[in-house]
Amino acid sequence: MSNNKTEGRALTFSILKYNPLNKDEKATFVEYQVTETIGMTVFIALNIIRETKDADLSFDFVCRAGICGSCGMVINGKPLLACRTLTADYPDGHIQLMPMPAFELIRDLSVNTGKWMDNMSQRVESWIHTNEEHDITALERPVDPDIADETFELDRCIECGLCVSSCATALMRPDFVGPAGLNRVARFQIDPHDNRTDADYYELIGDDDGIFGCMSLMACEDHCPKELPLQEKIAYLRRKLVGQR
Amino acid sequence: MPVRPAQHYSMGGIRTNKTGESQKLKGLFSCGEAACWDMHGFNRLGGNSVSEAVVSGMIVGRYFTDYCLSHDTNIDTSIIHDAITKQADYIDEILNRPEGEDIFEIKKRMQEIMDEKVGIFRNGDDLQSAVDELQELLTRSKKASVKSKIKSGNPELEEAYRVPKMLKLAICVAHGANQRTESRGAHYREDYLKRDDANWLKRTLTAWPDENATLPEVSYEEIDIMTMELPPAFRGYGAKGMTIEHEDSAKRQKEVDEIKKRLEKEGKDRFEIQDALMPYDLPLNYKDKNERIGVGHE
Ligand code: SF4
Ligand code: FES
Repeated sequence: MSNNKTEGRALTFSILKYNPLNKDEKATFVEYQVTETIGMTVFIALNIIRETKDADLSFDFVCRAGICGSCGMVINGKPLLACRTLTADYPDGHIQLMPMPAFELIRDLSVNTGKWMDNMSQRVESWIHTNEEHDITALERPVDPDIADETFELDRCIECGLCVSSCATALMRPDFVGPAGLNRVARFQIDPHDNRTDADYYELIGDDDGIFGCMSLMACEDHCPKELPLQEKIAYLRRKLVGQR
Repeated sequence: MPVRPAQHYSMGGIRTNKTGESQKLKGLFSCGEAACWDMHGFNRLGGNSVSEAVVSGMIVGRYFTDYCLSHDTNIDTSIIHDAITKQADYIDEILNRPEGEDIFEIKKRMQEIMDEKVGIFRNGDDLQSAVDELQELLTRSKKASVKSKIKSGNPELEEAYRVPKMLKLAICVAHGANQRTESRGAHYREDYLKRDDANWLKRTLTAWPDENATLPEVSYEEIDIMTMELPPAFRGYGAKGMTIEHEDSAKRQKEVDEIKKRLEKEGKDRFEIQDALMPYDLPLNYKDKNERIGVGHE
């Protein structure tokens, strides 16, 4: 595992560069050398590269703390958050970076996860469905703490898209609602504030672009940085909704 | 992992009135960390940003909706067009600079200055040298050139566009802190250890009437103790005797105590007393007696 012994190593980053707006340009891997520092993450290395070697390199980040979900990329073949990936975890010092598949490529390592998540949110109607008018001066109806915990557990999704980019169905079916989308449905299905019935959820995701598209490869759960129980929730939803067929 | 203190909340923002609307630009609303709306004082602890976002979101959000519903406006499209053209021309100007300053270096230096001289412990000498150097950086940042000349997905261009604005904010912070010769909340001056209510119970306001200036115009908004429900006093933070009192504090406290005593005697409840001490209004029925603050469960 990570230790500080690797400090001072010469790291070689091989980064896919491509600007889809420039029709004459071909996608190429460009190599950069970076000297490793204590506790270096791929995100820190990328900033050093941009500041000192290639001002033109496009990648995204906001929080650099695994909270905002904007720095997902494919690191040596695995979708990971760049800000949570230590360079010390790569013993041979070679790190290859590619943009996440399944999303619209903006440039180099930047992909448009926002657009995808937006579509998903609209598709699964990611809001509380209720007709109840609540009087602001009155206490809310209590919710069983265990159910609240279960809802918040799934609400921890940071919309990073790692699950989508590691999902074979999402790569084959561009309209697949994806693990993040199914997780979202599961979240509202648990939440007692939402009045939607299983029949309503079946309307939303009861097809091959929804819950029945999942082939149970479960790469999503392997890569989710928030360790959400995607496998369990997808299986649960499928069992619930198969009865609606 | 290196662990160190860092800025986690900005205690300044767009000066608003109580509805969240800017005092300068009609129809511009802001709330939460973006606003100077007076919900919190001169210090923030962990969690303040959440309460500020939730409370101001609810109240300002409502005022904003009301404003939109009651104001019809026709915006001349040429105004929008001119504003966009101005920015587009500015971006072209940056792209056309054949060579010049490295914007990443400037930004890094700004970060170092803010960290070393405008950080947790402040003093006049460091703040003055910060203001001086930040002004130089601002001038230099407007001569930054970018290596790649494309307009989309060009991170260096983004920095060249944004860093001068960041520098202006940094100058507002450093310059305001330099003028403020006291310690208050998160602003800690090694050369002025006391909180000085007599001279400094006021808000720092900055503006840039001349966009090419390197220093903002600074003005102050007095805070009226005589309208407060809870006049400034020692609240148990830090050592006692570290405040230079304002003469109104004791005066107002006496007044508050008298009003409270009188009304309690008359059998008024806490809502009526609150109203007599510091009346305020809120949108919708937000002011109605609320079960969350114990009404009905007393
Ligand atoms: S479910 Fe996990 S991997 Fe997928 S978007 Fe949410 S946080 Fe990221
Ligand atoms: S930068 Fe926010 S999750 Fe990595």
